[in-house]
Amino acid sequence: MSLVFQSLIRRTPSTFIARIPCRLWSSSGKFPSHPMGTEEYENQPRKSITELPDELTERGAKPEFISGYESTKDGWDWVDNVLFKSAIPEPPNHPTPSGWVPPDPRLARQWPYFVDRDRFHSYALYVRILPVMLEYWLHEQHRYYLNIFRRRVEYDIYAQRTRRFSLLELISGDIWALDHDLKAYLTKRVHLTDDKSKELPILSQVDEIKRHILVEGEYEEWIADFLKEKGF
Amino acid sequence: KLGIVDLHPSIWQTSPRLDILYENIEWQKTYKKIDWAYTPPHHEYPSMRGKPWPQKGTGRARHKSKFDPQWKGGYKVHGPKGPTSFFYVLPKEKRVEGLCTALTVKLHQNDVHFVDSLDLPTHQPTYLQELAEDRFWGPSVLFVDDTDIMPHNIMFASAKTEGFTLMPVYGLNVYSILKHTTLVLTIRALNKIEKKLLHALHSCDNPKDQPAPPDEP
Repeated sequence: MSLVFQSLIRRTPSTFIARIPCRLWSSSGKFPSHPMGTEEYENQPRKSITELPDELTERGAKPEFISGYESTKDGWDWVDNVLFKSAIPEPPNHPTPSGWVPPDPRLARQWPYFVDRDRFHSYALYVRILPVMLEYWLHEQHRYYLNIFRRRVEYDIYAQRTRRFSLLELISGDIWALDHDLKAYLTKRVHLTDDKSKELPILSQVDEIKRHILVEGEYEEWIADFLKEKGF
Repeated sequence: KLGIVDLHPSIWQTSPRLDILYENIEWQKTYKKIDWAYTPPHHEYPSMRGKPWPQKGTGRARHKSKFDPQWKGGYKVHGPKGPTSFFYVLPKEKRVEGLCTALTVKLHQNDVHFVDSLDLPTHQPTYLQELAEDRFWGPSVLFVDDTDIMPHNIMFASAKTEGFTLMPVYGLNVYSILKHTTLVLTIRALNKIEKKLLHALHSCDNPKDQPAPPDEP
């Protein structure tokens, strides 16, 4: 008999061995071809590597402890704190020191549009460096292109960097009204800074199917302030 | 009518994302696709030692072998090679959003009906067909129960009827929801679907920013 099967029989009560289910049967049909096919093998509680018997570990692989140790189950909370949990916890109902602000449904209800938060309770606001199709006409030679990660990306020679966009997602309701309000707010903010280089109009693209607004330029912080004012 | 069912708005009243619906359907069609086209390369063709005819003398064009690419029945240099698979897995968030959008669309087009259980008094298919006709359920109906073991009567009735499909909760997919005209859910299936979708909408499975787990002692 194999060593694995011997150790298995040693550890399981006799009642289990009588009931053997029909998985991983051998060709003769009298016994399972491998102990892994039996229920008790698969259902047995997992043991740590320190408790495996000698036959199942390779020589020298079993760890040896110089000092004695004892295993306890106290202090599980400290371990639990560090483990990864897939469920996202609910945030508090007040602004936090990091600058996070909870949404205000009373204030948000009055607008004809609504901007939802993502699963992590933050604004769905992202920076994008978008690829651009190559249109190399003669009159467009003032446009410069750059290859980043094998995609052709527009390059702004005045700002001397790639052309960046701010993306606002998870919009429901009247997108065009939101677009209008957002552009008005951003132009007002631009006039306040009194910067001569930013006197160009704020350009935006509205996608009704994907429910997002793309604004040319990196206006993340100002859009976040806009959303805070509206209560989203 | 037995009562009123409360539905969660995150699943049943989303802003429908048609582009994500399209991506889900394309994924369901394409991920099983395997292209078996295969053109053997030149080393898999019969031996090409011989010139078909001498270099000079005959009035014909000069050739080295009968199986060159320019010949009829010759090999192809850069042809399709072997089975190519189009397998890919759509991100989980898109699949979840696709399901929510499909359910929202079905609800707002009056094509979802909730039922306490799928028990029928008889196994005759005519009973189920007449029931569906009386209630104006469309030509194709998708019955969703929480387990994959269904009552006997509905099993026999829907097996003989064209367009009536039985499905457990784990088989729910965007293509089937949109393909069948009506969607009939049991209350237990609804609870299970809502629980699973809400958990998926409010959890994160990518521990990218988390610390690595401690090594074994």
